Amino acid sequence: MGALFTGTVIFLVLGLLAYFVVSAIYRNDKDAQGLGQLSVVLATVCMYIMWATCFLHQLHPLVRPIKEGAH
Amino acid sequence: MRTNKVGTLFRSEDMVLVRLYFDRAAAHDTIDELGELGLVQFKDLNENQSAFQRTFSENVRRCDDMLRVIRYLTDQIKGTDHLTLAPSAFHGPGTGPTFRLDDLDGHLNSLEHSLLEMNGNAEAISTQYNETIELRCVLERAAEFFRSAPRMRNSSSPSPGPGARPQRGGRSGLIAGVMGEISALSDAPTIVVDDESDIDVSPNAFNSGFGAAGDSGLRMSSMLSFFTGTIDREKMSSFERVLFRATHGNCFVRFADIGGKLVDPESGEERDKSVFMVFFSGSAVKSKVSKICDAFNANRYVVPEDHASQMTALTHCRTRLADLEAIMETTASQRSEILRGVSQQVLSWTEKVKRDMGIFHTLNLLNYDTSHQLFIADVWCPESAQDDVRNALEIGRRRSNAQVPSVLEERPRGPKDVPPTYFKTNKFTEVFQSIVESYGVAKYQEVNPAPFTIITFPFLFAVMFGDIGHGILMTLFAAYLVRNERHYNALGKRMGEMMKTCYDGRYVILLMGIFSIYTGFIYNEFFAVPIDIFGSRWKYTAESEMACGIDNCVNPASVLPPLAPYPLGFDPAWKSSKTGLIFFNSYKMKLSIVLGVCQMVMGICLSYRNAKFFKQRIDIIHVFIPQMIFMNAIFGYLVFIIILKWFTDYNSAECIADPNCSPPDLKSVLIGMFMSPGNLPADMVMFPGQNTIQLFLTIAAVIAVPWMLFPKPLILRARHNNRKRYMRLADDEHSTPYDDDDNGEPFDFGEVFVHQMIHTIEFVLGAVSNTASYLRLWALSLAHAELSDVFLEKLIYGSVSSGNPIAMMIGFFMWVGATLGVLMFMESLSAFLHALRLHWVEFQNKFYLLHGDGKKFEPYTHTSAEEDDDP
Repeated sequence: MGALFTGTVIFLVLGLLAYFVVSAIYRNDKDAQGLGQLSVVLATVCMYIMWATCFLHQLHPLVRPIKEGAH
Repeated sequence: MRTNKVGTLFRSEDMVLVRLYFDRAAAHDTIDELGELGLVQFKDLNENQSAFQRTFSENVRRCDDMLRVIRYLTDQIKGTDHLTLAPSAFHGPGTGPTFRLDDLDGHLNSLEHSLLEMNGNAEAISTQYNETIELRCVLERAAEFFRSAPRMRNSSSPSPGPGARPQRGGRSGLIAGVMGEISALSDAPTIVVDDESDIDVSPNAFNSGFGAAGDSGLRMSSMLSFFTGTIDREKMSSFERVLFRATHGNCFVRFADIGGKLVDPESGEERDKSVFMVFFSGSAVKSKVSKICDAFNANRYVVPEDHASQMTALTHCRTRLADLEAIMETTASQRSEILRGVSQQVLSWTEKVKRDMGIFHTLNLLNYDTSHQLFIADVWCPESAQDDVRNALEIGRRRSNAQVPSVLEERPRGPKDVPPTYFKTNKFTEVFQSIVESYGVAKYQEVNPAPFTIITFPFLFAVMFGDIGHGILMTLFAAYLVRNERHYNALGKRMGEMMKTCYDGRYVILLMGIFSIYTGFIYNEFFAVPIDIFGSRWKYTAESEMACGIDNCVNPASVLPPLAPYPLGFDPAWKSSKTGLIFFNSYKMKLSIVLGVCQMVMGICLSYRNAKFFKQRIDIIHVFIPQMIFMNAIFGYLVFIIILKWFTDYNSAECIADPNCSPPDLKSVLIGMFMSPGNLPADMVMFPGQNTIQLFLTIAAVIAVPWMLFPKPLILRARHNNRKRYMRLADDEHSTPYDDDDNGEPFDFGEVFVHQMIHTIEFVLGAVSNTASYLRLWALSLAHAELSDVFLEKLIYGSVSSGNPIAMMIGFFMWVGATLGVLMFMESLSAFLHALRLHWVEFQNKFYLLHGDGKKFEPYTHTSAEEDDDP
């Protein structure tokens, strides 16, 4: 559970960082800035969902790995 | 809020309807400038006129004709060696060659005329030339044949000639020999021509012999004659057989080979040919043989009978060949001289004609005010581009030295004037815009899904294509295209169709590749091999076939999972375990639902932004809100219980002790919620108060359906009736009839209601089917993983286990081929198409109210005029 929290914070920090970097890069072009910000937010959310669901899926697994070749 | 706060790609540009007036003299240059600017769309002001009635249709037709001639010239140049087309000299308006269109027309016509004549002559000469060559071959072979054949003749006729009379005995012996051979041939089932036959078949001998009428024993001799000519080598044997059958064996065929190929005078093709000679007797047989020759496309040539005239003919033939060669050379050099001149300019001409054709087409759309000699044009242009248009008008006027100033005047938009949708895109965003617009164009100022697509499209693709290795390959490919952008841009249309598609989509492919690398890390697949970066959290023990968590294995037999799972993506232990597939499938299915519901809810939120932008409160309250309630009450709740189940620890000691604590089947929970509301079985309890909440959500979802259906049409009708009442009052005050409401259309309740009903049904049924449709993410990702697994297993592991280095090599190359061909090409294509569908259908229909029936802004540009009709 602690790892989930850490991971969330990492995604949040990276997302915010990317958000500010994009905003700074395109500060002279409002169109591109809007697009960049939206893209960063969407990408962060998508990637976070992917990671978090994967982590949660393994947190309390209902099955165990079974050795290949065993009966 | 009319201003586009978040950037122009989110909403289409503000468009204005503008009327332009310009002098007749300035018309051509003005349109030229506007075409260069490429930001105005001309409205057709002569809609009631057919294409032929319009003022400039004659000019358009002439331009078309000139293009035809230019195409003819280009083909001629392309068919000639050492000639390349010089690039066009146009670099913008007013540059390039300054010739008038009429002059060009005349010039082109005379060029075409002289070329046609030249080609006709050249063709006739080359036919003659080829015929002469064949004749020469025939003569040479015939002379050779006649010379070598007679052994007996040498004794009987030392000086052959028409006048010479060989001795009778020899003569009769000779004829008898020929006839003998003919009859021998007729007996033989297969025809074998024996080159070593020692009979004399020289026509001299024949003719001299036959000429002697009344010769004893030679009744048919006067009728013996022969044909010579050429025939395709492959037809030789059937020709011979047919002749043999048709004449009942009463003919004698000889073939002589020509080393090398001959050009057939008729067809102009190179063919393998042979010289033939047919000897026969009788006029009936003669006509038969001649027909057979025609049927076999054999070219017949007359060969003189005696040796001397043969030699003369041969000499004639050779002189004629030399003459013809000289003529051909001169013609060819003249022709290539003309074509060289043309090739320098033909592209400039093409561009000029195409530009002018575009201008005439445009002029056909305009009104002409005869009294003021002014052209009037109604155009759509982006509000921000008005100054550019004004500028272009001024430049056009100055270029043509027109005295009357051109005027731009903004017009009020009529009720029927639907502005076109125009999104300003750049090289990065244009491909996403085109992905969206392949399905439908947003209405004017409707929300544009393209900005969202930039991330969601490649991401959903990557969910289906998750593999680090494949992602890296794809990224490298796209990065290469992006890096060599300039080179490929210059190539333009000369790229192959396939390459062009990839090039146009390079930025999507790049993002697809990058996201695939990420999802590859989550699925933990590198060319189907799991990579162990953080160290597996599972270990197998002797006590059980199942693994237990490395940090939770005090009692190995209890097989407890690790306390801290693998931090990024799947634990590598899963891939090689028997339960791995079940585990992945469960995850991928849940992930598909979660992503799908998120994207659909985002789509519904976009419909809110549309309604808010167009200030349609009804749509917010009676469409958006019930839709949100319906979607979230069912599928939002599904996502909630999916996440809740993940958080619940069914392995804990308390849960194992509690008989009611077992993982519920989520599908049954969702179905049971609707099938038996308020009645929750004990094995489906997941959290306290679940029954009440489920009951509440069911009621909310059920209420949302009539809420979507009825209020909106009823309110619209009430509004319309109100307005009519006011209008009637207004009618009483003013005498002018004013029969339409402000929308300009009569209100039809039935139509509105049916429309709303369709929309509601579509949404309600769609909510279920669309959610299920997102499961394709799971299916495709499963297929991808399994395919790459099978390739790895069979081709690499299989060949390595054989221990044979050659088998290993073959296996490896087959694996590379399968990876590139099946996975990188076909599999990525299918994942692309499925991502496309998810965006078009599942995402866009949540907010494209009328399925995107907007009109795309199609500004007049020279480039579009130039590319039009290229085949």
